[in-house]
Amino acid sequence: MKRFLAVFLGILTAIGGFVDIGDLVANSQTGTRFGMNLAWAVVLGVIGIIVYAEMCGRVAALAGRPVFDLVRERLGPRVGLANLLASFFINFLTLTAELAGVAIALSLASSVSYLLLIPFVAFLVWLVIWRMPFETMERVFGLLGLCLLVFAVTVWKVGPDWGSLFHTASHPQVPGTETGFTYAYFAIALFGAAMTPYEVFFFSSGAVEERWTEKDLATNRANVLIGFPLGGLLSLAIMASADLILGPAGIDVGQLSQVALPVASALGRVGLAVVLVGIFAATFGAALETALSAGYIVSQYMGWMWGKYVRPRQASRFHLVVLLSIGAAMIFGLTRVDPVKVTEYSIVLSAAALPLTYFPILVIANDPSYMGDKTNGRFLNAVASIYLVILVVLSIVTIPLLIITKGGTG
Amino acid sequence: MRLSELLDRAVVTADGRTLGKVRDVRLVQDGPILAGGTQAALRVDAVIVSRGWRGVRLGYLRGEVRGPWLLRSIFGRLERAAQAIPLRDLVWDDDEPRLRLRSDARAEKR
Amino acid sequence: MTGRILYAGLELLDHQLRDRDGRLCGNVDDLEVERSPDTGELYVTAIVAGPGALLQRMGRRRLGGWIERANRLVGDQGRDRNIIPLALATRIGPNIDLAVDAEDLATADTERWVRDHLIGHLPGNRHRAPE
Repeated sequence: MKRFLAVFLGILTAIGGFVDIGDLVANSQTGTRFGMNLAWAVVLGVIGIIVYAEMCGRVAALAGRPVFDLVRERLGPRVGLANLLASFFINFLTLTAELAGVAIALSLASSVSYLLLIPFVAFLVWLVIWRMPFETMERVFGLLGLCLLVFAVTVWKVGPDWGSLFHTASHPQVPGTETGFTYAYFAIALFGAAMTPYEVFFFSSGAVEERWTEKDLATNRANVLIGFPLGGLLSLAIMASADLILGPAGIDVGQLSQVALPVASALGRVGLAVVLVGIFAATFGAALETALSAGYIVSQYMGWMWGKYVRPRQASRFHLVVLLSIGAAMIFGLTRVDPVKVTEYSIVLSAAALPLTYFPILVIANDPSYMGDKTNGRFLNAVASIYLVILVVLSIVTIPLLIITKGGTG
Repeated sequence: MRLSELLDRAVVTADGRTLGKVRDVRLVQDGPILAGGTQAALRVDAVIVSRGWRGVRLGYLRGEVRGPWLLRSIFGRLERAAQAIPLRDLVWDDDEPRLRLRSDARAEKR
Repeated sequence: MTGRILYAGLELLDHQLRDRDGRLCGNVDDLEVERSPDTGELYVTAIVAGPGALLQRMGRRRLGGWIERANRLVGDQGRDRNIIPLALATRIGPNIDLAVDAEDLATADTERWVRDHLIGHLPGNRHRAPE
């Protein structure tokens, strides 16, 4: 019974922690502009992150090695360094976006300007990382993130024509108001929002932090195979809410407050309160993960001691990188950079950078000297290889599309 | 001397034809017992030379990695094209960046 | 005489170093190689890890060498502490286990500085992580 409860909690945490500011923004924007015509991109992204996370979890449990450790080992220090710089930069953008997201959620609840709240949020994020135990951190913000289920309630409340909704999702087209380029651009954005690299850095380092062993593999699979798809459904609920309520009203999502608008419109003040708690939890949790990821990837490349599972003074350089990253993201946020724009860039560039970290993991997951007899099976290898090709194609077309569509606006 | 001073150096035949660059170094643990330790010393036995991508140390040939099929067919081929050249068949000095094959050496195919 | 075959790039370079308590203490940045006066053969005598070592390997020899010397001067040690004799390696696998304490290696120098000058001053830095 106790075991079942642990697994159940793990799945709930995975669902609540799935969504971050990237998913909130990407799904809302595509919902208003494309309806459900890009739902397939979310499905594709969710399957991708399931494959990726399962491999990372298995590698972490069996070899005790997180992702970036292996990047330098298998690709060499030069390629590894290029990889590190790119990943760190994108991670930094994401961290800035998440900090802004938390600040905006708080400002919507308190009517204080979000800029004033950014330093407070940055300090809070650092404090939680410094003091709160790893598992507690994950649980609290993961479970609170379940408040975002209010988007599903919103869709149900609106009572849409389910048939037409499913029809659009399963027969995608480029809407007349959009071009093929913007369609492709937002497909990539959705994909990148589902398959964000920091999730994988955090996930695999976290598995080592929590000392996963072979016995934990089953729990890992449950979280990933049940939790992530349900998290994907939650993303689709956000898309559907935006489609049903913002779309007809012609409201474009240019600010984070508009993400919450469908819920407020359908469920009133109570709904708004719940969704703000959910947005706060999702972005705060993601900020924690992104800040830790900054520390993880640098420390793992350099071979430094890292992690929350030792006393802070025993991993001083790691904690310094985390602290400086939060500080830098805070400063960047304070330059009044548009949070939605930063979010968009971070998810799109994330998609472009995915092959860098996905590729070494795929190789290691096939290496018997690290995995014993638990290397990838043939079916998984086939699927994983297809995704590698998809990721390589994405990384080639993303920057040109970014330019052609002028960041999705054109 | 550092091992990295051997890596990435071009290897040419006695008559100047380029064979490739040093991508890896083969060590054999058959030296005398190390001072202060219990294991035999690692002797530098051969350099692995190939024309291909420098990062070829994924383990598809010299390691045990078997799949996926897609990557094995790309990288397995790259690693297979590499040749091991015993150290005794090479001459080099610090002024010349390239390693030269002795005129009496035979290339050993991996 | 046949012995175990190792490929330096695949199995030694850039692998994680662990001390005798399992603590992470750097990556193998390079390997030191010497010619034996008796046999004339070239042997790997030491693992190189520490400030400046990786830069030297990646081609920035002057800058890397400068950092290495600066670290030696600051630490007031005199000898080249980036050099870890191979005899201290007890196991070579995915990780390389060393029979020393992490604190004695050059890779701990910047860690010690950051700890003593920055992180160590923050309240709660000794806070034990719960099991």
